[in-house]
Formats: sequence, C-alpha cells, structure tokens
Amino acid sequence: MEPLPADTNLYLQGFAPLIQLWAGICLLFFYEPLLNGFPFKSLSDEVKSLYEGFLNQFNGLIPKDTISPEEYVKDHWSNHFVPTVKCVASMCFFYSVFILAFIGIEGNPKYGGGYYPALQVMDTIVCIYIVAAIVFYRYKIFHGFSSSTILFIILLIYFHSHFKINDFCCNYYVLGPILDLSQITIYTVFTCISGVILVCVRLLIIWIVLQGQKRSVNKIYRDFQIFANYNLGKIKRDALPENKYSRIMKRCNEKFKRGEIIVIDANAFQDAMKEEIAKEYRDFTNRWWIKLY
Amino acid sequence: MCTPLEEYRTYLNKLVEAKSPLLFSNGGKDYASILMSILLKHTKKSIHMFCEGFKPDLIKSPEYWNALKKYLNQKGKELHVIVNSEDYVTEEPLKALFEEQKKREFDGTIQVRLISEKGRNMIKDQFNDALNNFAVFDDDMYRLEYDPQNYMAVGSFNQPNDVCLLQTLFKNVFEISNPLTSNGAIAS
Repeated sequence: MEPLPADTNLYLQGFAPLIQLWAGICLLFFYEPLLNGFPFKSLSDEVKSLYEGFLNQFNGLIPKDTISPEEYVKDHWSNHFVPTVKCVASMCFFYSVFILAFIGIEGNPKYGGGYYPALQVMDTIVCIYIVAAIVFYRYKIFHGFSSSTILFIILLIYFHSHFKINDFCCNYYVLGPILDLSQITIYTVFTCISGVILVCVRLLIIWIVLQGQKRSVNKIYRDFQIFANYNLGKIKRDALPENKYSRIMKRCNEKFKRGEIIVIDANAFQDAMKEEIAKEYRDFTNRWWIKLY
Repeated sequence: MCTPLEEYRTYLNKLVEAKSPLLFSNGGKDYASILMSILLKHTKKSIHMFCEGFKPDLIKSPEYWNALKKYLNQKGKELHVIVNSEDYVTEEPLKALFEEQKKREFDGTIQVRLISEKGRNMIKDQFNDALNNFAVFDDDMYRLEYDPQNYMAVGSFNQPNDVCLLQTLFKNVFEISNPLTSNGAIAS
C-alpha cells in the first residue's frame, strides 16, 4: 500500500504561539497610562514645542491670526490617536482570541476546514476596518471599543451563519474560496498582527513629518540669521549672499521689476523677510503632509 | 491669536536662564516691553543704548518702567544713553535719568548724550543706511530695533560677537556726542 501524500498546506495551528503573543501585545494597548507614557508620545510634545518655539522666536514676524500650540497639536495624540490605537488593538485582540478558539476546532473536519473560506471574508473585513481606523483616526467611530466590539459581534454572526449565507449567495454568485488554505492561513496571521504593524507605520509617518517640520524651521532660522546680520551691518547690502538667500532676494527682485519698490533697501529687505516668515508660518500649518499627523 | 504675553515671557525667561545664543525676533510694544524688562533684570553691570529720544511711550509701559526703576536703584550699575533727538528731555523717563545722575553726584555711571551728525552717519554706515536703535546689555545681550515705529527688533541673550560690534560702534559715537541735560545739549 502506498503511503498517503503528506499534507503540504499551512494551518493556523502552527502559528498559535505567535497569535497568542500578538493578542498579548494588543492587550497592552488597552492600558491608557502605558499609551500616554509611550516613547512616541514625546513626538507629539516635540511637535508642540517646535511650534511654540517657532511662534515665540519669530514674534512680530508671524501673522496675528495664528492658532495656539494646543490647537495645533490637539488632534495628534491624546484626543485622537490614543483612542484609535485602543480601537485597532481591541479589534486585533478580539480577532486573535477568536482565531485561537478556532484553532481548537481546526482539526475537526466537520467544523474546521469548511470554515476557512469564512476566514478569508472576515480577514478582509478586519483589514479594511483597521486601515480605515488608521486613515480616518479623527472620526469618533474609530475611537475606543464600541465599533470594534459591534463589528466583532457581526463577524461572529457571519461566521456562525457562513454556510447559510454562502448557500444563499450561491444562488446569485459563486462565493468559493479565492485563496487556498495556506494563503488563508498567512492572510489570517497577517490580519492578527496588522493592527500593531499599521500603528507603527502611523508613528513612523508622524516621525517623518516632524523631521520635515524641523528642517523647515532650521531653514527659516538660517535665513533669519542672515537677516539679523544684515540689520547689524555684518553683511553689507551689496554683499548679500544671493545664493544662500535666494528666496528673499527673489521676492525683492520681483517687486523691483514690478516697480513696487525703487530700490532694494533695508525696508524692502525687511518686508520680504516678513513675507517669507509669514509664508513659512502658513506652510507650517497648511502643508498637505501635516494632515498625515 | 497672537502669542499670549505670559507665554512669551516664559519663553524669554527660559532662553535667558539657559544663556541661549539663539537669535529671536521681537515685535510690538507689549512684547518689546517684556523683552526689555527681562534684559534689564539680567544685566549685571552696564547698559549702552542708542534710541530716538528715550521716548515715554515704550519706556513707560509698566513692565519696562518698573524694571528700569529697579535697575537705576542699584548704585554702581551703568546706563549710557545716546539719543537722536532732544525732544523728550522734559518727559519722565529722561527726567528720571537726570535725577539719578544728581543722586549719584555725576559719578559718570549714568550719562545721556545727544548724537552728532557725524555719529548719526557712523550708525548709518554700519547699518546699511538705516538708523537702527540698539541697546547692549553687559557683554553678551542685545536688542537691535530695525523698525522703531513698530518696535520690530532682533535680539539675543548670548551673542558676544554681535555685542562687541555694537559696543564698539556705541563707544565711537558716544565719544563724539554732546552731553544732554534737562536744559538741552551742552555744546562741546
């Protein structure tokens, strides 16, 4: 008698310890003091202090209708991001626990294998929900545990009624498995850990935005130093470093060409500097990538 | 909204206590008053100032005025002022300086002078044709007003090189300026 060919499919059972670990990690995110003490929280504080410093350092050169530092950063951590992290973490936790329970019945031919196509649908719904939560984190629906709990209950109902729904749908479409068993297993494991990964990606984006803002402030400070040196007379008018100070000089030259100024003197230079810093302020608060906070 | 005054004061206090070399902008009367009061408070030995006329509109703002009075009460601390105009000799700020001169028996620690034409040109030469007001505090702090009408200035709490430049200019102009009394300038 020939031996039966080995089953080469990947099953969730093999990933149980990993899923357990991720469930534990997600559970940690429920604890708000931990989130508030999270090293990344300092990013939000850093953005706030960068903005405050900018407002104060360029006092008098910034438009009067500025927004307060509290207003500027209020969306970025405690008010929105922490509740969103809790929402995402709770979804991943519920789902991981469910998968761990599913692993218990996985080997049973009656209850296990047949439900794999259901996992494929559930994975997709959970992934869409997590991505939506990360992208639209300002919306209250993605804050806290409510929406994740409701969605999880709906998913359980779907799982329970999978065959009925499938039979019903088969009258209209063929809802067969798009992925094979191994692919569904990998997809499910990814879904369990996707929340934490996407939260980290989000934090990385915040960090990149912060670096962009810092560079921007450093640049305007370098221009401001030249402006101060000009006012101190350390740089004479005809020796202005045009290459280093191109934006200001360009502004002056354009005004000169339009006949708005007769000569590029100290006043023209000051006005251009003021306009440049006002523009920098507007950019500082309106750049498209600031919306990624 | 503008930066709240209290927040701005806190910011400047942090810079001065850390002896930060950061350059900053300073604009508007209330903000200028806060900066000047902080500079006066942290001055250990001398102030050298060139201004339009020691005009009361900024100096008499409560914060600045109180800090100046405290500074003048500390005997031995120097205040040398060059004014561009003698129009304000009868106003309170200058009168307070003249009284202090008397109290100190004209020991030279408080001196007020009226700028000469040559001195004015020296300042313009230095500042790219602008008659910028400036004040130097000890050997490291300064405020340079490039738009006196709007009290727009740059400043720092720790820039010895810039201060040295301004000190040298001040001394050169001071030497060729005429002493000013409550009765007007004394021709040399």
